[in-house]
Amino acid sequence: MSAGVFITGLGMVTSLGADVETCWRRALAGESGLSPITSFDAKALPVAGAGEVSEETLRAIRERLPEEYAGEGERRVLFALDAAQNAMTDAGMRPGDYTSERAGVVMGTGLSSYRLEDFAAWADPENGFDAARFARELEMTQASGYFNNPPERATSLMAEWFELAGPTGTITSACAAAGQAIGLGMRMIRRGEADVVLCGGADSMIHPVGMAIFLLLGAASKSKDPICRPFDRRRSGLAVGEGAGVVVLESQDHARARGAAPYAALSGYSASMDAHQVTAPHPAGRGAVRSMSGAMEDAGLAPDDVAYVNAHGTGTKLNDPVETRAIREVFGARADSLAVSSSKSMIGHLIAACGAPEFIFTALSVARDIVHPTTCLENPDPKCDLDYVAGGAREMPVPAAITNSFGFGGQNATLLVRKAA
Amino acid sequence: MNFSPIPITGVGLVTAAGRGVEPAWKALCAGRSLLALDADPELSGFPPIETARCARIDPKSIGADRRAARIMGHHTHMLLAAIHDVAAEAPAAPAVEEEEIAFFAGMDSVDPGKDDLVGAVRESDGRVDLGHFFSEGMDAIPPLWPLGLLNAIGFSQAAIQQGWRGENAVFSAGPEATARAVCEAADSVGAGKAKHALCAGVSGVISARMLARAQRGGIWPRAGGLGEGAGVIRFEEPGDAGPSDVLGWLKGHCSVRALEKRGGLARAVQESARGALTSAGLEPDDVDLLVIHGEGEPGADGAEAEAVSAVFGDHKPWGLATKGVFGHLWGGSPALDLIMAMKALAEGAPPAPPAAAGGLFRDAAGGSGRDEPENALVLLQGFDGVCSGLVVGKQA
Repeated sequence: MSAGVFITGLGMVTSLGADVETCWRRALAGESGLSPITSFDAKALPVAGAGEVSEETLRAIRERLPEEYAGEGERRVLFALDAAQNAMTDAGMRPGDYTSERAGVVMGTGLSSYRLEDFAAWADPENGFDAARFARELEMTQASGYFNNPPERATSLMAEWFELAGPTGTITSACAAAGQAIGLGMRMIRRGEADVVLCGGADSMIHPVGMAIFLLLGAASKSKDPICRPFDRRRSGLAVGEGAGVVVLESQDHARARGAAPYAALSGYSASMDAHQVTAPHPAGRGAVRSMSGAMEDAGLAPDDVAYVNAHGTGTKLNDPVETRAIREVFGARADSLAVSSSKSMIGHLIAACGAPEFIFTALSVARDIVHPTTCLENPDPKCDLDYVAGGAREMPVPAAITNSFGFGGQNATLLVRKAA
Repeated sequence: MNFSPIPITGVGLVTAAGRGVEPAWKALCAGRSLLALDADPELSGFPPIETARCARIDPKSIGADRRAARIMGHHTHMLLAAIHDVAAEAPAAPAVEEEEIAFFAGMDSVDPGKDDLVGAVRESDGRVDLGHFFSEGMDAIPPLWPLGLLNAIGFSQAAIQQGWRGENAVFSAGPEATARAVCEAADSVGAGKAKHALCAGVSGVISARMLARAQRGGIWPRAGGLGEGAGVIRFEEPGDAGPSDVLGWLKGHCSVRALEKRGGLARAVQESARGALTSAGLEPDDVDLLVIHGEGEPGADGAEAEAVSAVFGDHKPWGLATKGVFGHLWGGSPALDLIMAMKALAEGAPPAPPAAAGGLFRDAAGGSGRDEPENALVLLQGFDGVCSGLVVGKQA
């Protein structure tokens, strides 16, 4: 059995709050973080709401960040920095405490934030886009847009702020990105490349082009109410969320040497590819089966050792039955006694970042022997026939749990958390 | 960190010199720069720039069916072409299960076309009218447009085409992304997670929007030109690869981020070089060939020269630099440099050292070390100061 690496610090920002305990308390209570969009004029948007971080929370984040980072233009970068600060504080580390090439950063993030203003301002009705004028006026591009926010920005700023000089990576594997970032953080420690890795994910697609993208792809729910119903017969698509989750992973020796108390141990990780279609999961969940079974193999655990699955659970027509089928194939008879729940029913789909807050919820489930519910599950789809913890949080022994992240395009990641020895 | 050498059994390369390793090697040996002043009218508002672009690739030549090709751009075409050539020139053992083939890539961002979304905001007269956008403008956007913007989708298309179902990740962006992809691909084999692992590095596609984000990000304009290209390297389990299949061995790696408090860029280059050699179990004197990052920007080049002097002292390995010939391929550059390093080791006669290297390297009059190069160290500098060293050798 793999002892794994220790999880010694947690930080998160979601529509449920900007600290772990608030998010966790509200998730256990089954509160929804989904609400009408307020960050732009969404009256004509055929989507009722999203898991949006409130402007009040965003202001508070800007106020508590150091001045040099508070002016960052992109929401996902602000979320990442705030979650990172909370995770480091939670782990008992401050900027500069651990300036070393033995400490790294790996973050998952998503598609750049394309702003309509960056097209409209130079759109010539007669001749298309005026590239020459655009080139002369680059300083007019949106501070929150993709020209000013490369994908690696959050990773770089986190490393700079906390003075972490070790291995680094920014993963853009669609919705599997944050799960892969945490998994590769563990691998860096396991192979002796680092002692400490700050890892997770951050994303925000709640802007006009981002919302348009999910509508164009037919993935966003057009429900009249801002809700997401994973595994329900009436599920109609995903609710877009935003935020970040960052965790501190440490080698056991390193954590013990400085007296850090772990929440739990990250013991298994596996990634796979469906290699099926870019717009649909493999119908038998081939990639999902591989990633779940691979994570258990990696941890040296058997299906009977796992009590809880934090599902990818998007609330889309395609994902939920395929994930259910894959869980049944991996766990066999054990599947009927597993607790399975979807965090997205409350915080929405954080896209590239989704694996990070869901990993944190999974780690807390293992640490505290309680799992959060799946909300809005009223009429279970007959093809989704597992125990999805509807109706309220459940106290139960959770010696080990897995969390799934399945990406658009077919990239998958599963992380396995067990109690720290 | 100790690293067990992993055999490299196939490579594929697409550059401005054409498809394959040989055209690129010939251009490098000839010292013939492929960079030329770019006359694309789309770039006319930017400072003059020299580029080395890749010729457009016919999707049919890389096995892309019409449906898949609808969401592929040049970025994905370069990746698929390099993969296609690896498979064609050095077929992998057919007995490997699809789940045991890993795939990692460092990919630069995909930029939207300059006219993308213009149709959706055309009526807005420079202002954004979200009511119009959501009710009518959005209809002007092709439904599959978002897929073409995700570098992970190009990556997935390659996996679908090849039937690769194992470990994976897409890293973005710049040289550090591909350096990390090399490490993770090799580690997936070394840790027994895969029998084969493919690692790709893909540049961006030169356009007004690419230059705009580069300029806003402070990574351009710098001295030197920009290139396009992609490279792919295949690792195999040591037991699977026969001696005749092995093109070279990845022997070590290390990445270090430059921090002012720790001595800045020069120290980070030094630490990445020393760390890579340590992980390979080598001393500086064991390095016969040094592939420098050499991007042509005075600060970066000065830091690299300082680091090379500090690490190697009186030992003068052969030197090699690719950017004067191919331009800076950003995410594609680590793959190009690694493949050229392996080619130089195989040929036993590296091309002439970079002219501006100022006595750092062995020259025709001789120098220290072996007559036949055995080991090469590839130095890379990524965006935001991430420095990497990769060690390849002819023998494990």
